[in-house]
Amino acid sequence: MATIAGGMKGRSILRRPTGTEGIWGWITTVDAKRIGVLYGVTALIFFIAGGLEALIMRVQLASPEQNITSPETFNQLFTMHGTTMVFLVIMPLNAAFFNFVMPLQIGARDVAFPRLNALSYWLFLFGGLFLHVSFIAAGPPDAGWFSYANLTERPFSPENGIDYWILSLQLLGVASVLSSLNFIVTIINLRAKGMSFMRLPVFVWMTFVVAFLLVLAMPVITIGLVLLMFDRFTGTSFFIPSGGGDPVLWQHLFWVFGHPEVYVLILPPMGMVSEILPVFSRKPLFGYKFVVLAGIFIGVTGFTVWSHHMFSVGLGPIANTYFATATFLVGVPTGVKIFNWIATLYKGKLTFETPMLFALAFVALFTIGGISGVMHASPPTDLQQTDTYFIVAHFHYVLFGGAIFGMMGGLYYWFPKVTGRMLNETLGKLHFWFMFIGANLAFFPMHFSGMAGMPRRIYTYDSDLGVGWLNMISTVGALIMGASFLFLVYNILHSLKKGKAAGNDPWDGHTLEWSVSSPPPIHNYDEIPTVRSNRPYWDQKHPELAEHGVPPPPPAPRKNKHIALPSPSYWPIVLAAGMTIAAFGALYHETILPVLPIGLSIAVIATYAWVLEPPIAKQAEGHH
Amino acid sequence: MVQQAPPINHALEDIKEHHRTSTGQSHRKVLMWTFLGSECMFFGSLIATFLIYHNNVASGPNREHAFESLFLVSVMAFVLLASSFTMVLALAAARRGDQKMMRAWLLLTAFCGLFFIGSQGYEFYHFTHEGLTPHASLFGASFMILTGFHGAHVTLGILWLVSVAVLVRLHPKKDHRPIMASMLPKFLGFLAGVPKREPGAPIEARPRHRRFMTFAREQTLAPPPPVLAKDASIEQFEAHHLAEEKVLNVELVGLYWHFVDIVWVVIFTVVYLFR
Repeated sequence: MATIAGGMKGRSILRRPTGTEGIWGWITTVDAKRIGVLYGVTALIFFIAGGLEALIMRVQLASPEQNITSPETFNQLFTMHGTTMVFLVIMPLNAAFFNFVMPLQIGARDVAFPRLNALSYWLFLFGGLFLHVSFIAAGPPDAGWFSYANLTERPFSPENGIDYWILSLQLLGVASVLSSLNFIVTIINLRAKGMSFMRLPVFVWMTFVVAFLLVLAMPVITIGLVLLMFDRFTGTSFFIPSGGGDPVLWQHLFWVFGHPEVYVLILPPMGMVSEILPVFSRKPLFGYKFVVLAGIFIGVTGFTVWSHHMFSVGLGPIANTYFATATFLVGVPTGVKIFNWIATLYKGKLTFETPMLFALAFVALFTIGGISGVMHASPPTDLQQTDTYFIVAHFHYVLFGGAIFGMMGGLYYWFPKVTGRMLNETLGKLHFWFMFIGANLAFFPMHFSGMAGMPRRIYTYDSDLGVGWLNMISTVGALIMGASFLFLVYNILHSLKKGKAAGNDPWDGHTLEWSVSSPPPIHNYDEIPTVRSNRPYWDQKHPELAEHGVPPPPPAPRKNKHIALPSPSYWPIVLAAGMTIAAFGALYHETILPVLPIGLSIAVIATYAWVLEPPIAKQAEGHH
Repeated sequence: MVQQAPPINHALEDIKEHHRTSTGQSHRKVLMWTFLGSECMFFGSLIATFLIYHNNVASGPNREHAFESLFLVSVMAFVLLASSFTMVLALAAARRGDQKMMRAWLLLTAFCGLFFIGSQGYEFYHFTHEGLTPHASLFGASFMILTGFHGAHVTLGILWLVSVAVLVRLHPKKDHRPIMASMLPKFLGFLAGVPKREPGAPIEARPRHRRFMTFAREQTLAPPPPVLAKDASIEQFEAHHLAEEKVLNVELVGLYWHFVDIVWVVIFTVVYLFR
């Protein structure tokens, strides 16, 4: 067995932590696999919160003219539901898979900057909690997940809820930019020998594209939020018309970020589905290069279509024509992907385990959402549909039918690798069918209620509108969907203890992560494998069918092999805490306590301590 | 006669594997370039906001009035751009392994940054007296947030430059003399034309302008990067790697500093020069 430096036991505060056991092991961890698990568990807990908010709204809307929630509460519910699902559920669930799967798939031992990775997680956690503190402290934000100006300005939202929303998004923004920088460097610099870019698994490619999207899109909303903060805290009028400001500027800044953000949510599940479908079809992915290039094209085009969210502003025929055309264009690479997935299935030996069911549902439901998306890419059609439940139906087909179904597929697919145990198939299939039926019952009728004129973001509606029965179906569907997650939670808790042992490779996988034990060792690989194709592990198992020649099997690990691993560190969580305290200080800058300076001082001290400690502690360095 | 292959040094191979990157570039350098890409979007958004609001002068002074004299801001721009030159010299000194000159050029760079920030503070004070405040007009607000955001970047850069100057020791065992004690006499001596004290230095005999040329050549010529021998030992490999990391510390702050300078070129042109 190789000697692994970095994982020694024992701990003491102030000295460099070295232990990997117990709660301190998790708090100081810099291991991408553990951080991935932390992201996943945290996101699933936020998912429960966001889901319950949705269910309350659905119950309120079940029949016309109900008063279960007040209009104010309803505004807060849909704002928190949207913000939570986008920033605290789908993005971090994607980050969970990035952290756990991506380094394994490219043959790396960890990400390029392990401590930075930990900082990203803690900032995400604190940012999410910060947002939820508003429930107790101020009343949650109530201006929608895109918080259109000038609803968000002090005269219209005098309470602190919007401030919580702004500062929480700033923290979450820093977290995702840092983690994206980390993933970009990891994919550029830590690929195994022979793993050229055109041999990267599609999931890694989508990680790469998404990381670039975030790095380039996040700054734009950061600036928008900074301007909004100046408006709210110091009395400037960037988005207040009476002071000469232009609320449409907020819409531009938001959607220049917001549209790439949509692709940030959907591209990783597309990558997961591109991993799952070939494995359960016993075929290579059809048209690998086209799937990758389509993903890149979608990413680049994502920056050129933002104003299709703003057709109703009236930007004029030239702007509308351009943005409509560009939006139609996005349909092309998306269609390429869908046909490639279908062609992958064609003549394959399909088996229908739970991950495959979710992946197939992804393709079907995402296509429905995509088609309705192409419909309102046309400005005249959009003017009819905008701000109605038709739009709600569209983006829930894309983000729930697409992103969540894809990630559930990913969860069932990689759970055995993460925990070493299989999820129960029967419970998994129950989960799938309840979720599939529930989602379609909930979201499909919304197309019709929207076309019939039911507006979005409204706490109740008139019975004369005639959409009561459609809403009742939606609510029943939502409850079924909610119930389906009970199967998932039970399945996870049950399988963690009593699940079937997974072994290294339960699905006969194609990519490198299946070549190591489940769960993988802390250093991932004893010997970094050499890669000759984009199905490296499959080639090793089926040398007679390998297209590009079989790489020699990795040499047996030497006894005296020395693998240096980054040491755990306190500073990521301290730095994240300092920044969060500073955010509280900014919120309550009128109080006497110097909270802001205290938070900033903690952050500065943590930064210097971080820089001055070596990535690999001396005491953990083994002997050669 | 069959020549036996030399035995593989496994320990060395393990260390090399640990430091291997797919591109041959260090992680931190790739990170910095990607981060600067991200920064472009920050400044892009702010400049766009300024261009949207620059005609919105409300009750405050307009652009022609506010930027009537470009003297101070031109000097600021000149000093900041000149500091990119001293930054390059700091990196060249680090590559030569010249601890003292590296420190000197880094601190001079930071000093230029301080001059810039001080002048910007004066400029803001001056504008406030003329009625150009964030509250007077959106022109004032977007101008001050854009230039203030840039100023915050310069301030961070100054902290970073000073930190690197103080913390980076190119030769771990040597150069523990305080900065002032080691630096200042040499610098003042050079300025006053006092001959160097090192024995056998040929430049003493030369006229002063020739001494300057020699100094300039010495400072601007960066030697080729040291090459690691193929049969290097573990100690040599680690020493080489450590030296590269230390030079990289200087190079990274340099990349950041040049970026901040380039942004100022854009801001200077768009905000002050375009009418």
